[in-house]
Amino acid sequence: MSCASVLSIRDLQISLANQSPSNSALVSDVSLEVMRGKATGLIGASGSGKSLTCLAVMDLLPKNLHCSKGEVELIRGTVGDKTPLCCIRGKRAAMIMQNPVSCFDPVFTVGYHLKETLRAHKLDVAKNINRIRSTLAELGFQQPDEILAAYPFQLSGGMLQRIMVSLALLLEVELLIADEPTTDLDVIVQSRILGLIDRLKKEKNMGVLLVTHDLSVIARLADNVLVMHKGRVIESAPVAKLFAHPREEYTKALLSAHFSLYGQDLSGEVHS
Amino acid sequence: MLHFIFRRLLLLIPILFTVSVLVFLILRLGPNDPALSYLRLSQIPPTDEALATAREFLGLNKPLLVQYLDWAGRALRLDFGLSYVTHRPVLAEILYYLPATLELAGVSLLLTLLVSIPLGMWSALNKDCWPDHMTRAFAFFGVSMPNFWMGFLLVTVFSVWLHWLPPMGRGGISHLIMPAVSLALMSISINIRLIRASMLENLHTRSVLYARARGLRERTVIGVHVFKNSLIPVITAIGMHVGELLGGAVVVESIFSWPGVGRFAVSSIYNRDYPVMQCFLLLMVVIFVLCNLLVDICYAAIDPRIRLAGEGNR
Repeated sequence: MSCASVLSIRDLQISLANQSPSNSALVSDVSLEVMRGKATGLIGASGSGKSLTCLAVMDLLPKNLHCSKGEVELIRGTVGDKTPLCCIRGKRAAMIMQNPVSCFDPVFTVGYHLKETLRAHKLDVAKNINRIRSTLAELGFQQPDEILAAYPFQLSGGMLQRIMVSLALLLEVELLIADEPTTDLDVIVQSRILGLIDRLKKEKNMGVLLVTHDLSVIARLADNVLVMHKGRVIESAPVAKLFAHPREEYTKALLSAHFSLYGQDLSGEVHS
Repeated sequence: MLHFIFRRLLLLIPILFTVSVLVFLILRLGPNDPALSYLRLSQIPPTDEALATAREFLGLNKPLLVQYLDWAGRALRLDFGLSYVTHRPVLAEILYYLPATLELAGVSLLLTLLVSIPLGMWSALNKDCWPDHMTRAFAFFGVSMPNFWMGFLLVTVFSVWLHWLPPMGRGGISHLIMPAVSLALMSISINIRLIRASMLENLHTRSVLYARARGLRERTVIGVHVFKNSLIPVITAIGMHVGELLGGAVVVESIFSWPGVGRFAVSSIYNRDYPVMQCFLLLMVVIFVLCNLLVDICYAAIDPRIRLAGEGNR
């Protein structure tokens, strides 16, 4: 079952809700597949449509945008038909987002966030309290109870990022959407978070959709890579192949820019 | 928390001192001679001789500073002197009228919250649709309508034409409706706009996006997260509304013959009853400051960022 698809997007087009799709498409012809236990990377410059694609998967597009074409199939159910979304969001597909401090409600404790999410998915909090503690401990929190009682602004970005991951673990999601999970984090924390995602992918057999503009993140985690440019997927290849033989000019530019900054050959970094 | 309350109570001392100086000086800056008012109200012909005796009796021949210290010293012992009109202790008179005013202001505040919070939320959740347009029109109307004019309109319609509500006086709930509505209208309108703006701002935060991504129901996202965050500026505004309601009560009580401190104060101003005016102003300041202290406490209770400030981050 390790090759089963958890997410497949076909010919996705996202455009402004009140205009004709032909002249207002922000994202078009995006097709991608995420397999169980594999990570699909999505790279491209800011504004190339990576995050919009993620939001479309969760059906969380802003009101003025909509999917005008194509379909998103998430674990044998199509997003946008009348399957209750709360059964997919959080329960089957979890998101970890960039700038985690802004993603939590400052007037509630971290524990409240976790518990209300479990409750929203019909999980009994009292029965699961030990699982919450052990999950937090598994993610490297030595004093889970202290973390649960803390307010989001008392924790660091990396800690909150791990809290987001803990929700994915608690709800046993099949798909993890990581939208720039390491932006705003310092290098040591970055490496920890990436290690963590890698572990989830392998141990829990999760599918990961990894959005980033950082090629080293892709090199470390992804199995397949899609390059997005101006709302379109321009290149798609297994990660080693993309780094060794980029086909498109834009991809080449992206790679050489990265090399000139970090001066190393990424193909050596790519995991086997 | 106790430390916070104590510190705020200490702050009351300089505030009251400043206000008492201002109240005393401003009233004396007027063109009237208190001794003359005293004689007129006591129905004694103001001969030079009578004026001199009255000045002596009221201590008006002493330097202003001494007069202030005399007054402030007695005020500290809650002795605000005798009213020129009734010759009874001022504080007792005011406390006699105060419950009626607190009733009116309290009901108006309750009305403000009960009407403005749902309307503001409704407006924000239906932005640019008809509920939003209607609520905004209502708020615009409410802000532009002076409370005394609103009072006259209400009396004309509901008392003179329809005979539904009594036009004046204090009694049951029916007596309370029109004064409370005309008093609260301004606060309601301001609050609606405030809640609408604050809801709209909170609806588009990343924490709401993440709350939806976690699979929370829309009801929870809005009813718990957006609502609680939107309430924070509203609580601040309540402190302001208390001042507005107390000030507005002076006008509204006069229109509806509501037997409260406001009407009493207005008549004391007409009469130039200095001890009453001084005591009234000071009392209003104390109520206003205490209400704002209460607001600050609520603020700390609802927002952990304020409650935990100073404890340092982990």
